[in-house]
Amino acid sequence: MAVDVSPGVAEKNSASKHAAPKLRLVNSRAGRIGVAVFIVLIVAFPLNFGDTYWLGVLNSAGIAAIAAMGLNVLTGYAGQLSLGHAAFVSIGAFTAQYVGGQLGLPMIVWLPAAGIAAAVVGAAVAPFALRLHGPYLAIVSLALVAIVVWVARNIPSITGGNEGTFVTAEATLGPINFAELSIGPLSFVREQGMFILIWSMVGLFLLLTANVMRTRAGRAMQAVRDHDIAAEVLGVRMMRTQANAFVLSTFIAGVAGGLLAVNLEYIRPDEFGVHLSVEYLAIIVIGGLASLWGPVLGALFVTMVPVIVDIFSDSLPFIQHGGTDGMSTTDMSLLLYGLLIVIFLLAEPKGLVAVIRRIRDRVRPPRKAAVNSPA
Amino acid sequence: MKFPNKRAGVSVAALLLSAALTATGCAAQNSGGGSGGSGELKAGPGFDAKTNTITVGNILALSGPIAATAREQLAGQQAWYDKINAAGGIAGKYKINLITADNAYEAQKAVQAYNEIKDKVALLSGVLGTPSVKALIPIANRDKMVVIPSAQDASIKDEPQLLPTFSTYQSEVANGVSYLVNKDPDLKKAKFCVLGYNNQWGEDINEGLTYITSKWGAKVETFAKYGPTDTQLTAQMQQLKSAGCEIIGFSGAANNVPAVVSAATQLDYKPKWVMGFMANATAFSESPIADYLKENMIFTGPGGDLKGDENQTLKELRESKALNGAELTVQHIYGHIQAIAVTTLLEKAIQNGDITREGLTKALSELEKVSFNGINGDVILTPGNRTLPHSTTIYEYDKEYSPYGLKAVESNFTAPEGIDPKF
Repeated sequence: MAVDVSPGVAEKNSASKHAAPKLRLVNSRAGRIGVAVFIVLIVAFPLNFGDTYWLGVLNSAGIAAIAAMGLNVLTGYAGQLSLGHAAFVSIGAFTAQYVGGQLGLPMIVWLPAAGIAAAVVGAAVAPFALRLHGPYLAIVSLALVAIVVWVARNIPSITGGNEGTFVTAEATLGPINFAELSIGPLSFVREQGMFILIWSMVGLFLLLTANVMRTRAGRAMQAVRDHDIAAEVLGVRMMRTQANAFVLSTFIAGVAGGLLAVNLEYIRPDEFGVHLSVEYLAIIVIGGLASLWGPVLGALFVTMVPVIVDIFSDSLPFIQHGGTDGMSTTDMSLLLYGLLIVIFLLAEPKGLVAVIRRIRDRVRPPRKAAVNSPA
Repeated sequence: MKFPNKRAGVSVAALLLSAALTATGCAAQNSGGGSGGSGELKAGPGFDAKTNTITVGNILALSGPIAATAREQLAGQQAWYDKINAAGGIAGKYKINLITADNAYEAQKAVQAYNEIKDKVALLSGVLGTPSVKALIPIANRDKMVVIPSAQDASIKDEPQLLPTFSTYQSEVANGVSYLVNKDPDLKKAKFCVLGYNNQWGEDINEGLTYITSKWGAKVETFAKYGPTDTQLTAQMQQLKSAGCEIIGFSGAANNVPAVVSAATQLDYKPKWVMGFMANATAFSESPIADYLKENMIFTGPGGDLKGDENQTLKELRESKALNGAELTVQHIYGHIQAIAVTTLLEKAIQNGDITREGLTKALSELEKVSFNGINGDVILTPGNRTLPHSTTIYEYDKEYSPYGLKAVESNFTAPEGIDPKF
């Protein structure tokens, strides 16, 4: 299953010199088997594990992982700090409801539409935003969140205004309704079907990101991040490269927004504030910037901390129970979450991915890294 | 069979294992009935047949700026359940047990909290915050879960799985302003304004004020908006002062009030404020803002004379163990009202012999009215056209009266101009 990313003439001429890697979705047999296992697992796991609470938590983590993958393209791979990511997630969410709910179009239309709508706005904003760097871009992107929330509050026909809107877009793909999944005589709860949909999309975007980062455009993003002047001297068109990153990042954010909307079933503008952007940023920093699996690991970490605290809350004497005095599990989670981030960034700035890699290397000697393959 | 390397072998093994797992599909749902009951009672989740205990759940903000409020609501609920349990339980037999989950006042967390406790409860006796309630409506409809909302948004009153118990924000502000105008008819010529959250709550206050002022040909001059976490309100206060606002309807919680008073004091601005009870906190009596509250603010909410003995329910609530010696607040009453609604519904369902989710939903559809022993107006549950209480207790602020500060000056007041039926 090859992706057509035909290199340009210049690249063809230099191909023999630089031996660019074969551009395939998966470039090894083990990798292809791994993909097959992943596909089977995301179907097998929910069908054999019916706890709606845990599935719900994992579904939230999956959506956060997709959104964070989008931010990772822009911040991790292209080196552009953005605090406006939640704005594009919200555009995707409201587009999904408008196209899928109000217009009644199927998921095959509304899910790409969610990504495209966010990408179009991203493309419109990119030329202005990308003239700035570092903290300046962060502040501009912060303003973008405020603008999008304000706009969303003031177009009630699409967003429901302040009150928000119920999401009636259906998660159906042909005969498969992920919200009411049934196989023969067996029927499954909503969270099980949504798990399959959401984590399939996680897998799809992992493949997409891995392959894009192996293309000329992807390598250009990383070159600009590492040394923009040197990259320009070597012929990389910086503005176009950064715009590509911005558009890809916002497209992924839009799709995540669409999934968020259909998973939550009720959305309102205020849900997409700066706090959400900060959460995505925390996810990619904790997981590992510019690493393929970083957003997934980071999302699982951020989502699981409160759940783990909740599980052990009965054993902790200072935790309140049933509204009694004491620290709430949410407050405890926030405290623990903050402490872990600080400890983490001091001990391992490259994130969870690096920790796992180090553990793996202790268990067995490191393999030779594949040329140009993202982590 | 040889594999090119160990990794491929492991992968194939994993693939086979995964395929085997898929084939089992052992977590498919059994569409059978509930857990059975105690012979004559058909029961579902949340019922323990061994102890005849019905568990109900709360999804509240046990963390964040309104955690204290949530805990008071919980104590108010517990006080009513304790009373019912002490009398032998519902129908003299079924005790009530209360469990809680934290939503941190966020819609997405409310959904997680719901999934955490839904299989342990017969119904939800409280979900705090309109966004959380709305996020749960589609799920509650699907699961046939009855929910008592801790929210006063008029738009949710006819949702079939909800059992709303309170007057709406619109009714509250309309009654508050009507009370002031009826006390001093010259105020009909005053300039009316809103200082409210830039969200649905603010819109509700604006709608209620627009409705009541139209009764004497006035209108809302200005709607100054702010965010729930804003701490600097000087610009909004300047806007209100410049517009000449004399009576202001307010949407906001207790954590917003110090910023309001601070900004108003800076500008030496003293309009008459109509506040919801959730804008008050016991801590205010020890703070410099108490004098401003006494001079310029009235509060609205359910309840009555918090220190008097004329209402037996309030007296019992004040003396209940669940309050643990704390002073009675309107938040306690709020929770108490919810608990009364829960036991009324459960009584009906037990009469029907069915406390499954479907049974409770059926009981809710058959319930004509819920009364609250004089601490709240009746809720009329005509399907599709419910009527929420239109009456409000009016409180003035006086820290000398009690540390909590709210002193009822008019119990169960309804604007003589009338309240819009849709509120």
